Amino acid sequence: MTEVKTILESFCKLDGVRGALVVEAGGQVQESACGPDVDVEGIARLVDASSTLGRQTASTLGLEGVTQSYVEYEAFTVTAESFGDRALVVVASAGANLGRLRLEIRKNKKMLESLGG
Amino acid sequence: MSADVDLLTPLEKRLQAAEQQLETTPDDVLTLADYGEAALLRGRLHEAMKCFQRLSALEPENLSHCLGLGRAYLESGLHAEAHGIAQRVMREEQPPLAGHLLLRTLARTSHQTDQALAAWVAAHASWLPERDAVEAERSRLAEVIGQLEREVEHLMARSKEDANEPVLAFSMCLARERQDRVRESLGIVEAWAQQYDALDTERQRQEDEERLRLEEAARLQRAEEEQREREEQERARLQAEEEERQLREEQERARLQAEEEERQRREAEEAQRGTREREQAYTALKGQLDPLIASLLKTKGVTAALLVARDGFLVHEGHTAEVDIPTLMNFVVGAQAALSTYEKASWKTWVLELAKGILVLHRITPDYFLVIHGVTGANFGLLTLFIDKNRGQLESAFASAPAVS
Repeated sequence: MTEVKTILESFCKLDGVRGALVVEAGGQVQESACGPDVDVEGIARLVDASSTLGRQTASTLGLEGVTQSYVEYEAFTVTAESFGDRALVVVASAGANLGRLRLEIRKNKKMLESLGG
Repeated sequence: MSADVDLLTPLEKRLQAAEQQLETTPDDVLTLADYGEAALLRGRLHEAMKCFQRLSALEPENLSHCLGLGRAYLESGLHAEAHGIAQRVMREEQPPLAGHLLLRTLARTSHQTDQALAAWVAAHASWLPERDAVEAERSRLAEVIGQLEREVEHLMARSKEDANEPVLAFSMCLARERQDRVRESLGIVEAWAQQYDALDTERQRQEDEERLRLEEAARLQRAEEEQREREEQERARLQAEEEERQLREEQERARLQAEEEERQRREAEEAQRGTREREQAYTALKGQLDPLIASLLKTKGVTAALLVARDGFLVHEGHTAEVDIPTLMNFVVGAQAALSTYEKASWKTWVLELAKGILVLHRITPDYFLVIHGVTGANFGLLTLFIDKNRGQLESAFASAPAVS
């Protein structure tokens, strides 16, 4: 088992988290640890498309790069933290503790960055 | 002697007439010449020689008298004298036809070897007299042959009447010999005539060839002209077709352009009409929306709050700093497309934390969205809390908003 996979699975132990994955530029899934109800490929495409638009809009508005994207659906949320040309993505249920989740994401982001490609 | 047959032959009558004439005009050249010819034909050669000598004395420069004398010498067998005449004829630059006949006859019949005469005849073997002279001589010789024939017939008739007269038979033989000699001359003349016939035939053949060549050239020229005309007609037809095609294309382009302009005009009218109607409808919402926007703008870091229809139409907005409002309006349209890549659920809120600010997009209804623009310091939690708190008020405000097509 890879260290990235281990980190992703550690997210799944948090309350309300359905899965975690690392998405590369272009929407390719590098690694994932998700429950059976998570559409990994669909989430990856969503993160790639929204990140692309977010970067373009931020640049036009002078707010520079995207650090985190949060999309709320009726039953779940998708939080994507950018690092390098990749993103750490966590899919959580609607009632999950968002503050805790964001904290864990920031922590693990540094570990993922240290692991490199 | 029967009274049915004249004692005198036709030539003798001619001689008799001439003699009577000469009794009164002894130096008449024409009568003397006629007499000489008739005497020559009748075989009265001595009289013929005397006559032509007399003529030559009267007219020394007249070569025909000299030639007549030469023929008389030949008939008499006086070849040496005949050669003397021949010398004169050969000195002539352009001897007449009769001169040629005399020289040729002399060369053929002479028992003496005369190399100069033989050389002259050989040198003039291909000589061809004038055509008129040939025809005239042919007619004259034919007439002479006819006269001799009549002479023979007359002598024959007389010899039947007087069988005891041997002179008649002798005269008849001489006449026949003279007739043969004239026929030989006629043969030469006929050969000249045949050369003219051959020349005529060749000229006719050349003329026919030239006519055929000209006709063929004319036919080819007509064919070329017809071909050029056909090609010109074909070029004109193709050009007309091309012009017709271009005209049709131009008309079609004009028609399509007119249709497009009409469509754009109608769309512009409809858009203008729709814009006015939407502006009127949204103006009615401002009373409900102003407090919410004002509250948002008081939140830390928030610099602009917009309410935008899903087609990017601005419903209402407020801002505390200079913000690129059109970009935020377009962001609404782009976000719908980007987030629709996940098709299994419908999103409600999208928060983008940026290096120098924050963007929040909240779907109030399927047709209307709230956009919050914040700079560094704007708080993610506060903004999501605001949305949660005011969700009902926002939905209520847009419940009566027109549907966006």
